[in-house]
Amino acid sequence: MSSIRRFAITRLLLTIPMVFFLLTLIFVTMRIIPGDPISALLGEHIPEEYYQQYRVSFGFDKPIYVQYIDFLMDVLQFRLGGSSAGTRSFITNRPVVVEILERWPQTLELSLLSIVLAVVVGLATGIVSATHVGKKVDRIIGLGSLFGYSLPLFWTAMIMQLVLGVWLKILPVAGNSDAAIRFARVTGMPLLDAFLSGDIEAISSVARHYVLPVISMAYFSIVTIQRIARTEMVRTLHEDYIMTARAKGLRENMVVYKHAFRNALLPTLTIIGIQFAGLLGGTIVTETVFSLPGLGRLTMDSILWRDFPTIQGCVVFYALIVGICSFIVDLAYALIDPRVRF
Amino acid sequence: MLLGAVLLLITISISSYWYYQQEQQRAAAIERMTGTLTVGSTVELAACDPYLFTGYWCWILGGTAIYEPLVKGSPEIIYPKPEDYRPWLAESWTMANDGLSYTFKLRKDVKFHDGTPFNASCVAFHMKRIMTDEWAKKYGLGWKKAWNGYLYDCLDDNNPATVIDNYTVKLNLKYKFAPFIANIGSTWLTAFESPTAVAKWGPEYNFHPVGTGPFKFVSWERGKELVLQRNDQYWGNKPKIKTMVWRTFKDISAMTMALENGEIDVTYAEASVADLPRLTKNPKLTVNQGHGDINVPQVIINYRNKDLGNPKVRQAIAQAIDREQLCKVAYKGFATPLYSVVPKSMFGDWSVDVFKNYPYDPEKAKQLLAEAGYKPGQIKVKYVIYMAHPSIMDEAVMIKDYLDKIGIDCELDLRDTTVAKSMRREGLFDMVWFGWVYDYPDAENELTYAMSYQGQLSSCIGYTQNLTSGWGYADQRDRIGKLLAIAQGSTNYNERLSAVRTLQEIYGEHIVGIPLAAIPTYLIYQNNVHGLVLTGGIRWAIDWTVVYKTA
Repeated sequence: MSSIRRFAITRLLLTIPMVFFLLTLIFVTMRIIPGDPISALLGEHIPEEYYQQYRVSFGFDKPIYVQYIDFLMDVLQFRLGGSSAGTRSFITNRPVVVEILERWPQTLELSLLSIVLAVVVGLATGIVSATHVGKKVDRIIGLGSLFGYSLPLFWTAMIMQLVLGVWLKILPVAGNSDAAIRFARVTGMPLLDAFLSGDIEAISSVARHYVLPVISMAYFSIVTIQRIARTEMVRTLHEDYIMTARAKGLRENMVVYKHAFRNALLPTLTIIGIQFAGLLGGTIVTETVFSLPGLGRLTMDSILWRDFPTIQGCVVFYALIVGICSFIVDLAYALIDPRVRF
Repeated sequence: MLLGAVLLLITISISSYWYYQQEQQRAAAIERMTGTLTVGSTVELAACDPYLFTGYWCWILGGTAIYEPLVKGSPEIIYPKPEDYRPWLAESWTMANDGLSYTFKLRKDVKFHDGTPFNASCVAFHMKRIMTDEWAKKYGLGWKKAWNGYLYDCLDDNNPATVIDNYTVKLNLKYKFAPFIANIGSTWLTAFESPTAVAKWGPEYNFHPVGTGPFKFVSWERGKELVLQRNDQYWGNKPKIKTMVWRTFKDISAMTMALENGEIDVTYAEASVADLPRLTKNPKLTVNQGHGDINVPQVIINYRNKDLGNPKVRQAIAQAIDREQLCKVAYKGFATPLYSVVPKSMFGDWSVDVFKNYPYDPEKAKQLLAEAGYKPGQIKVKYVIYMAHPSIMDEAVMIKDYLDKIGIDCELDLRDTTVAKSMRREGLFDMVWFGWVYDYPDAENELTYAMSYQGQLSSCIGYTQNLTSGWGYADQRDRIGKLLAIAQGSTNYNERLSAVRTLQEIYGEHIVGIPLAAIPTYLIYQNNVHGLVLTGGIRWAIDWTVVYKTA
């Protein structure tokens, strides 16, 4: 069996205990932390008789281990919309899988756009910085990185909303499209759906709405990618074969982009993969500030409402996504660099 | 020359066509803008099915546009009495002599959005659905009654509605309930869903609501927006707005910025007092102060705390709080002091400002503590708060300061909303913030839930404890029970008035809770939005049919 195949199977098999462990951890944690979902959902002036009825309907009257077993039975039999209290949202009574899949495309699109921006800008500034070490442009980019690392995301986002939205009225501050613009939901990704609708106004509306959230999400990743790219480029540009290439009379652009950049890309690729996974899991703040209906907001709302099944589902979903991203990065590494073996 | 003329003709044609297209697009954009009303809210809509409504926000957030009640308040009367309600889906009604039923004659020209007729059977269907567990059992939902069962408590569980004929229906009560018409006119008790749609969609009806209202459901993207469209077959005045979009914002600042940026037209009942001065000065916005006394915030004191169970200590706390300063500082002048849980500005003669018996007097407060045998710093309390509105923290810090000054060591305990509500329910607090919002404009509403044996404060006022006389209401339980029965059930105006006033006096005498400040609520909207009139009954019952936008 090839090493890659063996690696893939091993990682897949390891995912099962990981998911099981996470499910158990979240299940127990949710039932230990203070806060009662019935009071949260129905208000505390619900009469005792009703309160007890809902306890029974949610399964809270059973011992925790019984609730856990019921829940596991549903999951293991893929009854992801089962009648146990573990697989349907307390709020909507819909299967948790449906809730997640409804919100996931928004998060995915936002993260994809952010990582594309982060890669393009991060790599570009990293290369510029590396080829102008110690010069003014390098210092300016370094200062920008410092700001990026230091400023909290929510603050940056709100300042951009205030300045670019409220004061200068250049960009919208919330949502993913104008209220008056209607287009069919096909994939659940607003920009893609707008393209599919062929409506120029819809495309323009969604694109404008995405500018601020994408920039605020991408900024931290830009800085991270820029720093790694710069470091790797500087290291690579001092290698012997680069000196040889220059000695042979190759143009500087060719030296930098054809020879140095490709070799510097490998470690940067790993970082990009990790950043993407981080973006996918870290949309809570952005989606909250910009009122985007993604998975991050669903997770946050579920926590506030103590919607245990949805919290469990979201956590496991995030874990799976991060695991998949990490797996793809490792595979990509092996495919790009033939020296890499598992 | 000929060529020149042809070229000129072509140029003129192309220019005219281009200009015409531009005008068409501009007209379409204006039509889209003026035909769509966008309403912003930070409260996530929880349900579109009256069966699942968990609070008044479900009713307000589109509920009043999709569904309609049997009766409605009148626009010119802010807080109507039962006799002030006007016919709506019901043309007329009568109460039985024994007060245990109301017979409604229904309009004959009303249809649901799916074209099916609205009649007495539909009323009976709705009542049975929300009052029994038949529907829930059918779909394995396990709930006995509709989620907000406490509002329906007055109805007869086994036979809530009787069909007399096709357009006459009788609603049957378990006990006499004087505010019944106010309840119907203000809440979703009579928000009728189409039986055909319920049968068709089953548990998914929540995502395909069908009512009789001026707007019909188009789509609901949870976390983003609810979209409604004008009901062109509406029996009443056709709405001027074609599309209504209810947008959800997680953050009140984001919503306020969206309003200032012109992305939404109206913010519904929410504004941070910190933003109000700026919004009031914005030349593009109108700030309309609502009838804010519906929201009654209080500090609830737990009798089970051995120190706070002492009446002198409670009186000291009441007299340590400077409501005037609280309104000026924490609420930036946008609130008014509250001296009863039945606000005077809302209920007039029904209100008794009992807490004026405890004027702000820190020296008197210190004296009371000394008389009770406490030295400064001896009493330690935790004040549980949660961010129910943006000014809570400022208000809580001031209250802590007031108590510290009289020698009560107060620690603020900021919790998330769910935890705070659980603690409140279980009585796990010394003091806790509590905000009551009237479900319907009747003074009985809060008093029942504050003072009844089943009320939300029962865990901390001695009802559930085997306490001796003098604790909480324990020694007055029977008397309070009788007074509440009169407040709820008597049809004699003076008798009810007297009972309500006496209940407030008992509440004030025991100082179970200390009302703080009446927080106004605001309707803030773009200047090009017109017709936003609050109809009487409950603060945000807006007649959407008369709202329109100009370019």
